[in-house]
Amino acid sequence: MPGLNGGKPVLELRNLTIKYYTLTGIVHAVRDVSLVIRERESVCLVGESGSGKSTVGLAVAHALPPNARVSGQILFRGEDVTKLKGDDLSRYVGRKVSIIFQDPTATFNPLFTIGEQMGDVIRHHRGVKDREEVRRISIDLLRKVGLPDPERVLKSYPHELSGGMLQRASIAVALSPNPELLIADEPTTMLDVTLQAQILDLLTKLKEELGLSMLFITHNLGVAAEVCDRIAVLYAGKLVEEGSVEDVLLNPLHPYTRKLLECVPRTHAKVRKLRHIPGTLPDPRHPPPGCPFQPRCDEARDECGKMLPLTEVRPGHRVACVKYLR
Amino acid sequence: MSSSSELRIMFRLIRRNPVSMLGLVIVVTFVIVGLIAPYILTRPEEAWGIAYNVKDRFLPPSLQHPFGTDEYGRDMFNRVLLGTRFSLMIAVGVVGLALLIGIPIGLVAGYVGGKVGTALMRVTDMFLAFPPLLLAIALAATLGRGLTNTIVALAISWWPWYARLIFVQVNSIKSLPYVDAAKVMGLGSLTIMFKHILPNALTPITVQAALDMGSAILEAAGLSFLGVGVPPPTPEWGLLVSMGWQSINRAWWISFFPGLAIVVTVLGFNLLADAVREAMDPRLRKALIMKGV
Repeated sequence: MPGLNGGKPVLELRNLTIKYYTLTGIVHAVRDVSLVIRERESVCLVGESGSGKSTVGLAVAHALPPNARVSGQILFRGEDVTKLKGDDLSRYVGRKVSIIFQDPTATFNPLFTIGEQMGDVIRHHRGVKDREEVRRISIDLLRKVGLPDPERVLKSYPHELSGGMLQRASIAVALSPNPELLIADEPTTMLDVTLQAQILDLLTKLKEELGLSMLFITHNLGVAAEVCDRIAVLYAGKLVEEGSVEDVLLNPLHPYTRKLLECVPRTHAKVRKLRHIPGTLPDPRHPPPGCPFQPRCDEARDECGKMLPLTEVRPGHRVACVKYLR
Repeated sequence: MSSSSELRIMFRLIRRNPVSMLGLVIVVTFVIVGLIAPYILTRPEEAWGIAYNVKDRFLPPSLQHPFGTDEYGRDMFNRVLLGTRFSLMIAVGVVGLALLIGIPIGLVAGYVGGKVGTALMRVTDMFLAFPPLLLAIALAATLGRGLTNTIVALAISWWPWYARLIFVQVNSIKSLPYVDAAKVMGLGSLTIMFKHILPNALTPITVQAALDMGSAILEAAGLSFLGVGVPPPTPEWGLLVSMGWQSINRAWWISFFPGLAIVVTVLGFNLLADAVREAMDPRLRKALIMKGV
């Protein structure tokens, strides 16, 4: 059973809480999230816009904006990385963990060739100085991500490549320090559907080949089902359900997860209209006590406003809902 | 899109527009004359102001003296020609020095932000609070007359604009995904500042600098005219205008030709700067290319 494969934990979030200090108040982006990613495992963070899923990814990659405050722990191989500074930080950021972003056309500096930008990262992280060696490594990486003409790509400027090619190139850059954990922040959202499948296949293949762990952030449950071993559902900064792909998709427990699955359009469904969940996310500046989904939930009870217990219903399948409280 | 092909596209765009072309021709002529002026003078002693020819004073423009002669009988054409060199030095010196001060301050203030950024930008604001010409006059008067002092005085009253411009650009660029990506890949702050932010922040400042070349000449002429710039008998254009001032009723040409030189040069830089701005605006450029450049 995935998740119970006994692999060593690579990343462990313990009561991770992230707040943004803004002019209009404190935004509670992530609240008390605990999660484990093991070796060779890929975990999906699923949630709608504003659920805090990207914030978690950025926090792990040490890329939060300066107005964010992190409490709780982010343990990478048992070491709390939230406290890292100086040399220890540079041995972690971009080396142990790297990240792929949503918009491939914006992740490269428009003024330099792909080769120059890859070269910077390779020289920085692998300590390679020799130009030929850097070039060889770059070509190797570009070939690994399935780019047909690596020599040409190296000499190209970002605007000369298509979105799909750029996303492949940015995966190559992310892989160049030989990371242990790859964070993919909606890597297929900006691509068209045929490319999405290709990129997802590529990521799955690379993960197997290189023995990577992956934190995959998406709002698309279909994508999650495709690439992940485990799914963690976030709602308004809270972890509401977590379990293996089979558990969460075939046997969803939290009312929010169920509603979310009902919203996935199906080709052979009789209903013509797209389903949606009425209401909106609660104001992240004043999150309601208890279950954040309560105002939109059909099954809400009085206790929902008071508490949100995370219970392990079955081994490896946790859900935060009073319904399952025993 | 190497920078050489960038330049070629820019040149093609300029060539299509006669007005831009005029600007380019004026600026190129100005630079060339500025560089070779001392070697093509027909009366170098008179041009440098070390020789007098009192019997030929106040001669109107003629074939022998195309711009006439001044109160000491010096040939104005040679004086104006040599003045080009001083104006070129002033234009390049003032803008160059101001960029050298303004860019690092704006870059660091924008990238580092926080207390350091605030401190740097408040200092910049203090300089901006003075009317620039007044500040330049005060500085030039304090430093004393001379070419270097004039350049320094103008540059000190000038750099805050560049610092502001770069600061604003850096602020918007530093939150772009490719900067985040570089940070997340663990690249150092210096690499990020000089490779990922600065080159992308230079477009507006390039245009501004091109425009300012003309303004620098104008302001330096202003300082000389007021008597706090370059000392006589240097044939700096502003100084030539001011020298002719007393005898404007008798000999209009003494002030007129140096003044004309200032006007034409400033106009040239303005036209060229406009063309550069158009050529660097991707949307405008696309429209122009569609028309078949």
